[in-house]
Amino acid sequence: MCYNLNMNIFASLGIVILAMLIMGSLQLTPGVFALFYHYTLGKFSKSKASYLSLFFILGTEIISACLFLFSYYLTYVFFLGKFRPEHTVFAWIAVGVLIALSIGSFFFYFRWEKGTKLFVARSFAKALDDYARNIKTRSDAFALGAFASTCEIIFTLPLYIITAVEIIEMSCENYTSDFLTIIYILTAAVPLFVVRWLFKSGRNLADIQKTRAKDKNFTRLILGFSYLMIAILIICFKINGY
Amino acid sequence: MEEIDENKIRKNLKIDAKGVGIASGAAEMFIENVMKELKKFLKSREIITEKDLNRFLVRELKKYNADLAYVYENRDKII
Amino acid sequence: MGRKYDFEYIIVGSGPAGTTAAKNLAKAKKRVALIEGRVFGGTNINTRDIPYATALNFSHTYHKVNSLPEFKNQDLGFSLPTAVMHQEKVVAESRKINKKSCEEAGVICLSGHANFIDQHTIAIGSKKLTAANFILATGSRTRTSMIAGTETVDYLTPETAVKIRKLPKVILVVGGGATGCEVATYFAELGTKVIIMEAARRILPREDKEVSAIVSDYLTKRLGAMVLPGYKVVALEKTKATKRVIFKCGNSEKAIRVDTIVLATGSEPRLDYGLENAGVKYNESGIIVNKFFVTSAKNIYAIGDAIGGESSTARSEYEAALLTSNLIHKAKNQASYKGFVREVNTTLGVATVGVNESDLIKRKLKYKKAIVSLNEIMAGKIYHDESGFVKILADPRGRVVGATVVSPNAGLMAEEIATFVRHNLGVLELASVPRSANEYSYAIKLAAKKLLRKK
Repeated sequence: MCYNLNMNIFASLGIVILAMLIMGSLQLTPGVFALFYHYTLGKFSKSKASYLSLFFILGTEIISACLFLFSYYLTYVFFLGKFRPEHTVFAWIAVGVLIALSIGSFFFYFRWEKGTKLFVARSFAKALDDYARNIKTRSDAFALGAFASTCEIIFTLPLYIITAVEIIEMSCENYTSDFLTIIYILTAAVPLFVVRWLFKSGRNLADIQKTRAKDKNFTRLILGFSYLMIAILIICFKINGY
Repeated sequence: MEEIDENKIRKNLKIDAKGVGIASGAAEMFIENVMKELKKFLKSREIITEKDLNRFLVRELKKYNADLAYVYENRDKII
Repeated sequence: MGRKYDFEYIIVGSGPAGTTAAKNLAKAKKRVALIEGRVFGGTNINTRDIPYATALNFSHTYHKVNSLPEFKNQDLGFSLPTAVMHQEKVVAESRKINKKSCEEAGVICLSGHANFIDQHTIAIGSKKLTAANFILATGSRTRTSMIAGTETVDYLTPETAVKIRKLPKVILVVGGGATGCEVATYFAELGTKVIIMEAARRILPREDKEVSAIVSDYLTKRLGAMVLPGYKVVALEKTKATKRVIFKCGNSEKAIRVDTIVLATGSEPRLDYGLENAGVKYNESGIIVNKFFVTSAKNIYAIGDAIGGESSTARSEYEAALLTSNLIHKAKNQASYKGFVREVNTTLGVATVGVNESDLIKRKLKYKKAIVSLNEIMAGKIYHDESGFVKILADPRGRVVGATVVSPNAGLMAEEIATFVRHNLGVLELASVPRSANEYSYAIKLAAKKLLRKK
């Protein structure tokens, strides 16, 4: 099969950028982080809350890194460093999963109720809330960040795998992938730093939550369309090889 | 069925008030007022559900601070 | 087999909506309970229509007699405690009659604050009752949440204002809507100095401009009140001896000291009885219902002031009658609010039926109007009151669509016109009704004839 090299690189880059957009738009970890920061502000000083928040972010990042690197290793071993025509069936599986996630994002990511209630079970959400309320030490904050990041694995793991494939492909064509890998892993922390900055600049949980609730539909659309666009890019450039 | 733990409610309100940025002195003052009203409310009803309690507290908190009332009302709608 | 319930219907609230619904259902042999958390009879009997009608009748009569030229130099006194006692007697009697009629119809009357536990269960104290269906007719109360300081400052509401036994020297009425103007009239007629503050640009903002102008003029010139439109009260403060009222006028904020304040700032529905536990959705305006008065919980209905909209006993009773008719006969009739009279019981009464001119202008509809001033008829001279007018509105086809009456018998006159509005009758029919030339209602005939002459 003949691939148009330039278009392939742009398509891979596009997929990675869309994946970053999705990672930056997911709401469970920022929501847990906002709750956590609010409770620590309520129990400790501002500097301690700020300090503990860094460990939360570290926990999130460590898990993101672990999951991504695991996906990278898995795909490297499986595809032997390059995506070949005989791997097309896996591409179609990936497309199917992405379309399912796109539909899921539109209809199920946020519950159809007031506020920004997510897809997680209510008892689970309550457990996260209770854990966030009882944080005292750095390790608690780290564990909460790691745990919150893991909870969205259903939305993030397919992305990690697909992005890993694309980054491997780009590295095979002599484009450096290290920079992209680091940027991609760090994307998960961007919304957390934004929330942290909002708290430090004087806003409170009410202000942040009102913004999240107001932008709920926009977030739904971004997630849904981004998953769909990735699926379309895979079909057009990876499977059919335009 | 469980007993309403007023100390737990007071403690959570203080945490939320400080988290929202209310000075601790002011928060103490109005939380005490809210707890006094809560005692009256609990005496007036023999059967109270969690939703009734939340509704009452949100209504009372709205008199003092809109952000605190919003956080209390929406705390189970964030994630 | 279906679940067994204590009652087929439980009605929460014993105001006009609740009692009408309860009696109708009981007469249709349904097992009905009526729960009232405060005093039986609701706002209508205890704090609004009946005490108001009694109090205003007293003040209007006193003012009318006192103003007659025949009594010019005589000092007519009155005993306010006696008047209030009479009011309480009338209220007690009405309450007794109302409760008796419910019990005779077969309604089980219970007292206690009702709180929903779930969609079919309600708790009164420690007792739980179950019902297949519920009708919520919990009414409304004065809204004070827009003004800061109401928790610490004593104030009167329209309900408590007509029950005081000592007249204040000066009274501030916050709110220049229908209720505010009525309260202001009551005190002004009895000799108190009244100040009315209204946030909108004129009092009675729901009525046409000329109505506001004429009532404002009457209050100022004939009753000596001070009418201040465009003044928005923002906070109340307690000082040592008096109360401090902070208000905004344009861009500036000022304050005055008064002894007595009446907050007539509108009403809000009563919603504090566990609606969330039953899955009933509501917002600030009231319980959310569809056009058949069904709430978000399919076995729970809501009517009257609890669903928001204009507060009116006639409307509440109408909705109750319609709902119970639909339930008993399994019909799906929708409400039609055409022909309801909206009244303001000031000395110079105001009554509107159907649409008013402001509504027609807003909706850009074509219409014809005719106005007859009361100084064009004999009744004004006979009864020493020529202020006021009758305005009739008709559509291009000649059907009566609305009327505004400003006159001493405004309510009764508007009710006559209501028949024509409700049944889509024409101006010709209205003009053809014989009327005595010595009565205020003769103005209706003249206005109808004026309309007929217009092309």
